[in-house]
Amino acid sequence: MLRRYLLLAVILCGLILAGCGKQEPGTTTGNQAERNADRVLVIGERDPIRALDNGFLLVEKTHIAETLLRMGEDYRLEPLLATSWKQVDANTWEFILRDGVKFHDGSALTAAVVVRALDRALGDNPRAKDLTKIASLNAADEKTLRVVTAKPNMLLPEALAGADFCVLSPASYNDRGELVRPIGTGPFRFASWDQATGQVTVERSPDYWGPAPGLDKMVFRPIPDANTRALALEKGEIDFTFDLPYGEIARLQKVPGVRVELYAEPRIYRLEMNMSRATFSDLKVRQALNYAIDRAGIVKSVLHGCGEATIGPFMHDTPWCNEAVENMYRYDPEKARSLLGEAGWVDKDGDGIREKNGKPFSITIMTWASRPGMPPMAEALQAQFREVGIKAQVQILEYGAIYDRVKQGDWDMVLASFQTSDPHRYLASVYGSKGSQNVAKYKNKQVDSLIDEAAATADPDKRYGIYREIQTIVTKDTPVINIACYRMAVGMRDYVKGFKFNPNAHDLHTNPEMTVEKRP
Amino acid sequence: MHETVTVFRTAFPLARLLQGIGRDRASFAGGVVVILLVLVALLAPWLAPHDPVKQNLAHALAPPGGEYPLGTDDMGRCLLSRVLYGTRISLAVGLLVGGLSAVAGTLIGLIAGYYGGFLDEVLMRLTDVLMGLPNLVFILAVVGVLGPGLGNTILALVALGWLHFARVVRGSVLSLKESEFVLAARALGFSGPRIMVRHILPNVLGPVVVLATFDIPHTILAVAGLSFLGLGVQPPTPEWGAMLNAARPYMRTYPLLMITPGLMIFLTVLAFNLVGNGLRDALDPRRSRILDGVGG
Amino acid sequence: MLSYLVRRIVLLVFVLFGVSIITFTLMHVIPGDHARLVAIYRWGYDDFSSQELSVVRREIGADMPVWRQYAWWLGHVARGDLGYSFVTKRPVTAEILARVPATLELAVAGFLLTVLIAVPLGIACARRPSSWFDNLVMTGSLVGVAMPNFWLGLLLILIFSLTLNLLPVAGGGGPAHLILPAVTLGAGMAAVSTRIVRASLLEVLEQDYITMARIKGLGEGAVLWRHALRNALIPVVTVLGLQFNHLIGGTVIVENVFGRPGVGQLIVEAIESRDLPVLQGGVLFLAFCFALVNLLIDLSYAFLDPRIRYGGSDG
Repeated sequence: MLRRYLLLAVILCGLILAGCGKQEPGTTTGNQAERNADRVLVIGERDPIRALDNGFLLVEKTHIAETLLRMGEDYRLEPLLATSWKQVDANTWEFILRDGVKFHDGSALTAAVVVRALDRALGDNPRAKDLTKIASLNAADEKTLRVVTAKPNMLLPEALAGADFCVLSPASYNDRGELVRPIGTGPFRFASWDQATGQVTVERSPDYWGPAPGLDKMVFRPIPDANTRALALEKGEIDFTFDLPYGEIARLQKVPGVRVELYAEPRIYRLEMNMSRATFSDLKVRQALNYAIDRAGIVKSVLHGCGEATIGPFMHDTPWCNEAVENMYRYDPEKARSLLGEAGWVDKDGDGIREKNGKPFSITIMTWASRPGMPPMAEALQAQFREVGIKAQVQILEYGAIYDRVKQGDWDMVLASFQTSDPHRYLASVYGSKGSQNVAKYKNKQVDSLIDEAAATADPDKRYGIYREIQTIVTKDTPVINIACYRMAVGMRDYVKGFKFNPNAHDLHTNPEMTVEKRP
Repeated sequence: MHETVTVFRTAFPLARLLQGIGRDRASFAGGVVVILLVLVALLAPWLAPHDPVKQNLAHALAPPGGEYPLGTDDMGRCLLSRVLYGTRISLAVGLLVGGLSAVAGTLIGLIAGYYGGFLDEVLMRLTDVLMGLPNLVFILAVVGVLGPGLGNTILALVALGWLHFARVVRGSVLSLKESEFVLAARALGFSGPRIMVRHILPNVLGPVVVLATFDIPHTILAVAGLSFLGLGVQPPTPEWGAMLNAARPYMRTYPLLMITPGLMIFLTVLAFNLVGNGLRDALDPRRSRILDGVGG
Repeated sequence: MLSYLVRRIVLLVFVLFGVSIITFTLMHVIPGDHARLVAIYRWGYDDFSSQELSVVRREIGADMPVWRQYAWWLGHVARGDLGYSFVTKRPVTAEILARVPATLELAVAGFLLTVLIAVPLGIACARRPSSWFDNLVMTGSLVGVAMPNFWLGLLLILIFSLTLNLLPVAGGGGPAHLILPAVTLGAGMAAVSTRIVRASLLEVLEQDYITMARIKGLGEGAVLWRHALRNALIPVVTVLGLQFNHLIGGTVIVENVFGRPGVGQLIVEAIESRDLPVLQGGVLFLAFCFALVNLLIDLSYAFLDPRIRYGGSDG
């Protein structure tokens, strides 16, 4: 009997070893030699990769797929798969495709294929139709794509530069229309995706139409925990990663072989409020909350200096930023208390929490954890609100779960982080009464008409003047509370070269020029 | 008449249990630590140098010494104060869950064992099903559906906690039911509830107390584990598991933030286990099967 | 034997039935319309018509009375169809199966470690109870039992990965990635198991037939190996059965500490993203594994001890 037992143990041992045997090359430190021979970059991914069907992943990260046009660093459109485009009449546009472009499976890029790809993008995402206003797509000839919009849309080319409109070969999908193997035209081609770990590997495409990329292979290894990413970088298990924990940056900068680069980026930490609730529909309360926040303290202690305190939404060196609003809500808890008192919130029972009509000022702040500064920032806000007599609870959920609750109206506050790179789009979507990010349901006719006016103003300086005016109004009305501008902490081993941070791309992007230079 | 009945009743062996603990050095030490922890929990407001949830961002991540004996966390809160207050939460939750489980389980066990029949069958099949679920998975299911937080965690723990009590009590009741003093009491025409409470209950209290003693550290571990996953007690409440979770980014730079709460969990669980072992050995020196697989 | 087998399987089915009712009920105590929730995840909050909603309602069977919904759902579960993830839109079954290898690897390694520590130590202690070695091991096991596994994991990372720089910290991968998680998982279970192996051996050694064997002049080693151990293996298997509960709970924690992409981590992620179908599927899956292993353990008694014949009497 004992023998049988031992046999079982041996079998189990074998199972373990078998389980350990199957691992992908290039993923562990043990494969350093291989990583040196090929130019392989192992990237510690911040977000789990649960599906491949994601334009941002395919275009800005893995560079498997490309879009027709690309938004350059100077906010000007650059040709990519389309070499030229023109508006034929109010509702018709024509895009001429680049010659000689082949998909990774050898098939040619034709207008008919592009029509199918864009049709799919429009079908998958109901908002894509709103954004582009596309009514129909057709191939005028082999290389000419014709787009007809339902309403005139001057921003159609900009919209089509979005990663959701990337062009994949129809062979990428199975008969049920599920993406099984992304086949694009980009400098890298898809090699593998491990569903369990989410690890994606891409390799250099030998017949890319453009300049050859600087790497032979990129491995995207999801490590959602920021602390683990920092440790993995330090130990050389990964070569490159984003959003290092802020408390670790000072230490990592001193680790030999590791480089940390900080990039100020057009992205804001902001506190959204449910203005449909009586508590927040009161302007005095919103202003009191503004005064109650010690932004400088938060930047120093929570972000460890990795950010910049702000009251307006934009980076302070952009031409459309209104620096004057920065003086509007200097940290002043006393003022916050008196404003709350004026609004009728008084602590009658002496428990340190204000009440109004018998109900305590008790709220929930929801935030998500993938950006390492947000959970501790929510906790800091919680304590600062407590100082002025407001009881707040912090709830950490995933992004999608939070905005589901927001859409159902079941929320008080969300601590969020969003890109602000395009001032028009940002102001219109957050403060415009029909804006997609206007979760507060803020409505101000003056702001709406100023947004329309800006859209019709060709002269940039005049337009920026209008943006500054809008900032004054919305800072006074404060439907959202800005806290700090984001700063991205990118960590890499010192042999990683050629990384270029593009403030207009999603902040977790890579660029095909990146390479590794190691001594043999 | 009543005199005779009292003679049959076996006294709750509290004295024997305490004696047993006194004799065993390890469980004595455990008992001392438990008493100390209770004192810390009661006296936390006087022992703690600071408010455990009060932030002071200007003093974030201060090293130990001076105003902050163990330093501060990333929000500038006094680590020592938080650890001391954490005792309150862990002990309170442990006692609450242990107590509720013991009461519910004993009651169900008494009823199922005494009356038997269909009710017994239903209740025992229910325990089969609940025991057929891995504990943590069940807790995750409850918390996942009802939402993270301490209240739902306690609910899930009690929903599982009563099982052991019910089984043990039922087993004892089944054997006691045929014992002479119960038969005698029945012959005297006493009602079922009266026999259960006056004659059977005192005899099952011993194992129940031992089980409850082991239930407390189990609960403390489970709550800390769940909070560590971010699904139990939420910050800024100074719960040890939640503190451990918050300390993960500072593991390397400020290891004390991670070591201290872990040590407190460890000591508390160890102390309760030692007391539990002592109680069990005193109650049941030959370790009958009743308490098999319970505790360490 | 056969009737025992049948009875155990009936019990297994019964337990699974109960488990399915519990998970099904949990999903239906959530306030709000389940079909609406599915539609929101599929099309976005305002982007579906009432017609599309009724399609979803039919699709997930929400247009039927509750008991029929349950039967409908159970039918799908029996065919391995656990629905679709809200987040990834992929079948839940595929999501779970993709995570099984990481969990299995960890569980098997942790279990083996437990056996390799607990059985030899338990035997050694039982041979010389109350010796210094026995006392040392028993003290160590007390420590092991009280050690929270999440804390142990962090301490091991701090010592072996960060300070000594011996082992990797992150995620899944080769055997080196398995060492610390397996130790974290196995330590607590080994501590409990050592005590039980020791105790059950001691109990057997006191019994008459062992004394008889000794009187017959068998050496102490022969007594231990040929008689005592064989019978003591039954409680050992029982213990390991009991430990399976801790094993599953432990993998959830350990996967979180070490960032291993296993089933436990999948469930934790599903809770954070309110991905109810994945949560439900994951819970059902682990409960099924648990029940199955319990059945296997019960059956292995029959093989381990030929004296046990599971017949008509109540066992």
